[in-house]
Amino acid sequence: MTMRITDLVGKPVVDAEGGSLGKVHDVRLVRQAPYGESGALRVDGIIAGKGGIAVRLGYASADLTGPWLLKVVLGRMSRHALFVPWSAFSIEHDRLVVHAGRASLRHPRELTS
Amino acid sequence: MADNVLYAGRQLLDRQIATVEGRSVGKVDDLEIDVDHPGGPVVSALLTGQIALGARFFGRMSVWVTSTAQRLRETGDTSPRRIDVRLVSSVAATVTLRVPHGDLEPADLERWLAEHFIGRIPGA
Amino acid sequence: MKKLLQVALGVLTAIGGFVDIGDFVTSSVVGARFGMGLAWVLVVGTVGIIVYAEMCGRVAALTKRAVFDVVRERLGVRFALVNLSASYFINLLTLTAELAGVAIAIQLATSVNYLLWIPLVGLVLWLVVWKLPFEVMENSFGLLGLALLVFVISLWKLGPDWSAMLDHAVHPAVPSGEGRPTWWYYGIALFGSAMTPYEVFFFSSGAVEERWGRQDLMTNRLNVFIGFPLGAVISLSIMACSALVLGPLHVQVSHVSQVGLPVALAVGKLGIAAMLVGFFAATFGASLETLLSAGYVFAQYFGWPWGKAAPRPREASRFQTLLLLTLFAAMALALTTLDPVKVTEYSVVLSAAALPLTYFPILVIANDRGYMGDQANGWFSNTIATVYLIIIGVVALVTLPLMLATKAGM
Repeated sequence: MTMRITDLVGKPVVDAEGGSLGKVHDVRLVRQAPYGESGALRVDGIIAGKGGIAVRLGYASADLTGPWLLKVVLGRMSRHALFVPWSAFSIEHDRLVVHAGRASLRHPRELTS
Repeated sequence: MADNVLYAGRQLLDRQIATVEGRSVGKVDDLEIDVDHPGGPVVSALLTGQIALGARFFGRMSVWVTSTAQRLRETGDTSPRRIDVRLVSSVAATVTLRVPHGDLEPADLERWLAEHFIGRIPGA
Repeated sequence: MKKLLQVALGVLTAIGGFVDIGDFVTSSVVGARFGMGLAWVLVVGTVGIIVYAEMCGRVAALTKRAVFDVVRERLGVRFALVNLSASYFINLLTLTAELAGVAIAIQLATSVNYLLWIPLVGLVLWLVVWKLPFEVMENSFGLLGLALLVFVISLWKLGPDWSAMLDHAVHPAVPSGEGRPTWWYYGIALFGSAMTPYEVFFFSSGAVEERWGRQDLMTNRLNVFIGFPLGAVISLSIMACSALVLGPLHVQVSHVSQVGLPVALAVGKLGIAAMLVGFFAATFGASLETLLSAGYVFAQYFGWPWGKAAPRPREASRFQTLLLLTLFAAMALALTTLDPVKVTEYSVVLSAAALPLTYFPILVIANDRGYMGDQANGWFSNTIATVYLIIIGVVALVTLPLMLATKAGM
């Protein structure tokens, strides 16, 4: 079965109790093989939270450190972003339901690989 | 950040796709995910062109963009233009493919206009 | 000579941007009505375009990607589509005015009504974009446009009281009989024309056309630091000439021929000839700039081939079709006898309202180390750029209300 990445981006995300975790802002890919092989880019999980524009612009990552004003405003907007591994959610109707507890989820910048 | 991590929305989606000799192919308008791949879901193809792009707009705009693109298809096939992920050779500011221009099917509108309009002007 | 030609892109971009038909008349109107009281706006606008054009050139040199690629990437498809519509519409309006401007330059030389020249001008314009290599285009029209330096010579010959002029420029005041909103309205028009986005669309796409790489970062700096100030100096001279000659006579500038009066007075017939050549080159250059920009924004939004990425026109058939349609639309609009001066004035003010949609994504990408590596913005350009982002934001918010309140500067 196939799906499109834009089927995920923008979808509301809720926890097991139905509490809102925001929306899907991005999808994290991991390159597990050289380009050219069919499974080169594994879908690792999604980035959910509020402040989607800031995540999309890159202010949740270490690549963007300036300009100062944007870093302060957009960095603040993106600070509650959460990484949800592929195995920890399921797609139901028009939303994503996260099974894992909130405490086990981390900010994307804290991920190591 | 580790080199092997890529954020699809920020680092892949909406980037320019070019052939090995630098000719423009289109934008990464969407990505196809193969959910059943052994070992976990993987990106299986880049989707490019108006049909893929149209699906990202809302309402009437989406219907209009997608349907005008589908009308140009000679085969009646309504799926978006698909570039197998195995053709990708690098991902940077430009997504570069490992194949030359001649190996790819041209975009529908490009081909149609080249045949019916621009190609008929002297010097084209 | 080779060094000189290296900055041709910047010179053409700036002359087409700063001294096209609209600015030509706006600078003159402003000079005649407000003296040098709004000169500071041009200086502020020039620093702004230098800072942002430098970023665009740097991004293009390092990534081979032009401005609208960046706009789509950072704003996403929907916001970028709003920018695309606005930018295309503004380009079309400006092109309409420039076509008329070129035709008016020919009318001044031949005394044949400009409307009759519009189809011919359109045809020549199309031939240039269809066949002429990019480098030939920028070298010829960029350098010919330098004939407008005749305004600098005229100003010098008119022998103004320099210190009084400078004093007036650094102590701006609203003249009696003019309303404050009108003063600000013209200020925004000048600011919008200095920072009009088609300059960066054209400049960055030109950099990609010329295949700039990391080794061309210096060329990029030379282009922006020579080109834009040169455009600004010409604009300021036009303003000062008008302030000196037309202001005291209470001439209401409404036609291109009036702009040339100070030149005729100071330098004579030869000056008028130089002015006409320069005016022709500047308006023709601006026509090229806006026509190509209209194509660039579409091609870069949708990922179509354009320029050298397609060796023959038929390989960029979508881009070429769009150029033809745009040109026809602009010619049709110009033939309706729309007043070209009013048209550019509106398009310049509208572009002031659309500035953040283009300059914000540029600032973000120029800071992205994943994209720019060691050439990401430093603190110095970031500080200036942030100040300008705020100015641009404020200008965008007040522009349309001000336009309505002053009935477009009446």
